[in-house]
Amino acid sequence: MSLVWWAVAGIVAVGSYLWYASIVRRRTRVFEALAGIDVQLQQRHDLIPNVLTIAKRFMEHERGLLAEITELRARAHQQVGERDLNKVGEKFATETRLGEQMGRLMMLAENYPQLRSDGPMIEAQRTYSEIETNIAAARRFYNASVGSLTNAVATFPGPLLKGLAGVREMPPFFQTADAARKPVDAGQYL
Amino acid sequence: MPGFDPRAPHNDGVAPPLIQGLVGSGIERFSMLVGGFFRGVNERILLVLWFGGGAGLALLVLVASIAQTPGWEGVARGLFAGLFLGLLYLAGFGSLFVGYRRAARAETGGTPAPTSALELQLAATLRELDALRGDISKQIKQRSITRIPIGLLGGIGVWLLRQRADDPPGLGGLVLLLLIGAIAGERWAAHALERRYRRRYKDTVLPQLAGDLGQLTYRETSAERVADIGADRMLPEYDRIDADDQIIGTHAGLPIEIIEVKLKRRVNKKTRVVFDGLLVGIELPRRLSGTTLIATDQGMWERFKAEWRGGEMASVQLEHHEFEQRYDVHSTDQVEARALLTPAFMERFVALAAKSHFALPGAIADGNRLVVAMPKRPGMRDLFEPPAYWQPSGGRALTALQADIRTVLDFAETIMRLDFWAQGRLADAQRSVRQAT
Repeated sequence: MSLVWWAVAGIVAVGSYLWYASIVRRRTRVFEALAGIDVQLQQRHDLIPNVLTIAKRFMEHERGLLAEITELRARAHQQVGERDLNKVGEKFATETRLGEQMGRLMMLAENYPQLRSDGPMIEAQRTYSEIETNIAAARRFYNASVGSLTNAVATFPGPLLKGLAGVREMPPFFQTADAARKPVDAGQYL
Repeated sequence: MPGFDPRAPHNDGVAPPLIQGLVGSGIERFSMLVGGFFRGVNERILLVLWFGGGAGLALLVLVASIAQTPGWEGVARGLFAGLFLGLLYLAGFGSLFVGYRRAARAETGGTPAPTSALELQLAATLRELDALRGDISKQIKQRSITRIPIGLLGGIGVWLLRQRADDPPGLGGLVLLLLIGAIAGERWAAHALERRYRRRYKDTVLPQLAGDLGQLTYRETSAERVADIGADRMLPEYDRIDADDQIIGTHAGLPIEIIEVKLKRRVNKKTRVVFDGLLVGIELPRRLSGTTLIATDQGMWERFKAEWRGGEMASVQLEHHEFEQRYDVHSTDQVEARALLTPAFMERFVALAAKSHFALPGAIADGNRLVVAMPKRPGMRDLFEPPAYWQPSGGRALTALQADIRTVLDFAETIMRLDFWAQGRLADAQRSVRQAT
């Protein structure tokens, strides 16, 4: 075997190793991003009981919504820390539903003047908004990481190396709820 | 004690240093002469002089060229030179014409600056400054009596020393050296006192002007403060720093500070200004704890080196295409970086340079403190500069300084609008002001 072939084999080996290392690094980053989402979700779960306690005092007519939020929060709380990529999609769906219902609660709270001017509720709403911003940021980090891993795995020689790098199934993107993507009907709010 | 009259000229008896005054008044008289011509002569005649003069000059050069070198060569040379000189004349005359006409319109159409209230408010300070101006003028005159002759003697000394050289300077050289010596002597007499006056003016007038615009004050700052607020990490490398003006306080309920900074660096035996602009620091109403750096794009090689070196700050890849092209973002916390750099923030940050008087900004967020560095565009003057001691301490100078403070405050508000939470505070504050008025 001539020197040229050895050189070509060497370049291919080094190139493949660098690609493999890049996939491993991106895969690690996906799990890092997933952990980042969990940190923010945990904060949301910690805040929800406080919000519900305050809301119960004033929102007698919204017992159904409060019960649904309690149930969703309990289910979502059990899924925090889930690393099985097949179940991560389900976890995201629960969190999305919880986020929607919390958003509804915050919107309905505007109809209760006493609740709107309640000091702890104002503080809770502020904190909740901040946590939602952080959750959105964590989702963006996660989606960017998944996108980067998907590109590395889909581009040759990625498909050959992904098994070696421990990427058996691809993590799902964190997508917004269908309702959030629908056009807004201003008539409902006016 | 006589009362302070804002309508009275405040520079009575206070003249600039002798040589500076002579040069200044010469330029001023020439400018007045040209201005008088442009204002006095009918506009149609000026237009004829403008375009006719340009065409005439081009024709004259063409004829002269043909007379000097008959044939095609003369025609070509005459056309080229005539066209060049004609266009040069058109541009020069045109800029003077437009400039003086605009100035004349501004003088006739503009309303007088509403400084009376401001001057009355600062009457005590201005009276004190006027006394200081008179005192400084006297001291400079006294010092000039000895220092200008010393400068002249220095000039003669250099001329005599140069007589031994291979190419000794003649009488013209002596006149030039005497002029340089006299100017140096005068500067020696005036420099320290002028600086004292300017410092005193800034320390007494600017805090009051800033206080007039809210819970703000002006103070002298130092180079250390620039390092303290963490701006060093986003500014270019430098050897020397000039930073003495700082507006600090609370605006729209948020702590802010604005520092004017000039950074210089010696490269290849030449000192260059590597940054001249503002640092605007705002305490965001957030709960951030990481550090995020937004620096102008350093190029692929620098990015690769930074990644290779590692460190606690990792590169942050963002979704905004234009922002990504212009900036490199590094952060200690990927999630916090994105919580700060929302799509709206990035959109407004990119628009910041396009809309303002400043060039491409950089920023660092350390915890809740966001510091934005805005380099001035070329030709933009220094801010917060007081008038010279021979100029009136009130009047236009006060209006200009207050305009400077307003400019930086507007700019601080633009920075506040970058962040959703700070924007909310700003909107609340503006609503309260509207309700109160």
